[in-house]
Amino acid sequence: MSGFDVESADRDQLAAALRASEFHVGAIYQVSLDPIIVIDNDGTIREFNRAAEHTFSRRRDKAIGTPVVRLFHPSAQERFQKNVSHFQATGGEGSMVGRNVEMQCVRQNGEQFVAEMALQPIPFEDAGRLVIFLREITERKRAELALKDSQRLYASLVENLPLCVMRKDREGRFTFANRAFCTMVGRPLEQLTGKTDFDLYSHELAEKYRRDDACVCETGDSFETIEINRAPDGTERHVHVMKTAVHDSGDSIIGIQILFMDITDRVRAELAVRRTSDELKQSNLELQQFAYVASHDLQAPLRAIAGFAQFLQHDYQDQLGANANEYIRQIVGGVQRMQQLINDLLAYSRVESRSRPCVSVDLAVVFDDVVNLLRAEIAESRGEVTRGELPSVAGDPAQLSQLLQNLISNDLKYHSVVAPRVQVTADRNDSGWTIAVRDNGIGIESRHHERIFEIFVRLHTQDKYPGTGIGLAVCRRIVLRHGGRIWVESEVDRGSTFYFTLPDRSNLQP
Amino acid sequence: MSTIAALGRPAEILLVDDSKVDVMLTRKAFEREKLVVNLHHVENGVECLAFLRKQAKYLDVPTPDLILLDINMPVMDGHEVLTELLKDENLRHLPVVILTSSEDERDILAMYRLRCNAYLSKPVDANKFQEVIKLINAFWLTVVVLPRK
Repeated sequence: MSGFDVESADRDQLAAALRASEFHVGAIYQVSLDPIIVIDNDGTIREFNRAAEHTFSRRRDKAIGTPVVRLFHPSAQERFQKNVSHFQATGGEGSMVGRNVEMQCVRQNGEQFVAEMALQPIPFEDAGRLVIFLREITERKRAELALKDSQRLYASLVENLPLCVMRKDREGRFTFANRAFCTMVGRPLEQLTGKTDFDLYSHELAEKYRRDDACVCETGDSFETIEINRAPDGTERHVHVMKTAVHDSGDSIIGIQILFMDITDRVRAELAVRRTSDELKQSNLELQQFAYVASHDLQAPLRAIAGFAQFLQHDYQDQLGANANEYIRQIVGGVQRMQQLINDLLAYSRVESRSRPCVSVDLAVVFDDVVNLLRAEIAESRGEVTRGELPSVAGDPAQLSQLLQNLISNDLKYHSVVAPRVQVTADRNDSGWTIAVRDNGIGIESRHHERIFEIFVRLHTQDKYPGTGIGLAVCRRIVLRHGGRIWVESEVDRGSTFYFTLPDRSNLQP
Repeated sequence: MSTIAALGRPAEILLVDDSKVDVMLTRKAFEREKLVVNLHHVENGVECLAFLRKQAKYLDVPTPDLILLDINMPVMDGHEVLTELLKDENLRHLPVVILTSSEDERDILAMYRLRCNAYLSKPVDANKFQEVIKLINAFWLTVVVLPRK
């Protein structure tokens, strides 16, 4: 075997290896999923693989021979150019060369996208050429932005919530706290991270929190309670606490998340309301007691006055002067009026104290009962009391009866020269019923329309129309208790119409 | 079996009332009815029970045929008296008529629940009061057959 032959055989082998390598590189170049572009020194495209054709929607034969910068967005062109020039001047120390950079690229149709780019110089004949590898990262960029937005959203929510939010690891060390919590404990997050409840609260309180946390960590069950938290400065807060376990992606519990709300103001307000309500109940009870005592103790002296005056009349009739009978009559009359006053006042106080639960009341039945009760007055005044269709309403039957009785007996009392005509009708409104009690009586001046519902207000002398001035005050109290309102429309000598409303679902005060 | 009137002796009535005026009015009303009754008076529940049990100064008093009981009294009120009477085997048969100025429904219900025999309210008007006393006589002392023990 000659040396030539050996050399020749080596050369053949070398050539074969080279062909194989070229073949491999060519295959890789063509099959690559990422664009690969080869440019020469002046930036002209010399190779353009299939992935490049697809990504830029340009055909290879149209791309080759054109400047590569056309593939980039104008904003990126200069940068690219500068880097290539630098690379050529320094022989490979350019900022883009050998490193991955993001480039804004443009497809044939003008659509932009972001690609990561790597440059690799290759020696070709005497002039250097560059291989450009590109990888479209539009989707990744979009995901990154979306993630950033989402993080911003949650951070903004957590930081601006009027709730304290924090997280601890399984050892009870703070890993996160929002602004509300940092403000509450008076420390920035940097100073809280790694600390535990034992650094913030009394030993006792920290122990309690540790136990609660441990329970959540062990069971994975969430925990919710309302408790008192004593801040480091000693102030007490009522807090509504929710604790939940924090899981890692493998679903094991790595810590605990705590949300709590300062509800001190609400608790205080509730306490204040309860106190007021208790006081009111107490005051109502005392008022009832007072009314009871008044009914009993005020009547005893009245009985004495009336009784002995009458005995005086009986036993000493002959020995008394001529005026004596009249005096005694006045005494007895005064006592009777006083007694009426006491009874009416009691009725007024009982509107609240004797209230019964709200039931369905047929106003037609109530009306018929009232007319029956008033039949003596109706007969005496030769009056006529009629009604239209009356509905069933929600209310206290005894009080609604009292209400109608007071209004109708007023109509019978304050009649003009003609016999009284009273009519009770009902009208549906949006939220309930409006009841009208209309008469043909003497009427009421408009300046008195509000006043007449006040207690003890009377528009007439005892001689003309006896009364205590309590009847309409009782009416107003009853209507208010049923959640309605009462008013009058009237003109002197033109009769009066009293209206009251009864809402559908009456909320009777207890 | 007999009514009090038929016994031919004055009726023994115990009036339990703290109001001197009411006692005078009641006494006067009985007088004006020309009724022969022995009207005994005590001014509260404790005295009433002592009277009925013939304790202390009440050793020699008769057992009343009828008790007229007020409700509101100091020391011991009508509720407590009725409660005590119900518990006392020797006294629970005694007829009790409530005579009070209270027209409070709660009082009326409470007294009947404690088994009072009648509930009367004292009218302010003397003539009407007179009428009530007259009716007490006409019914309780004349018509009603009372137990003898």
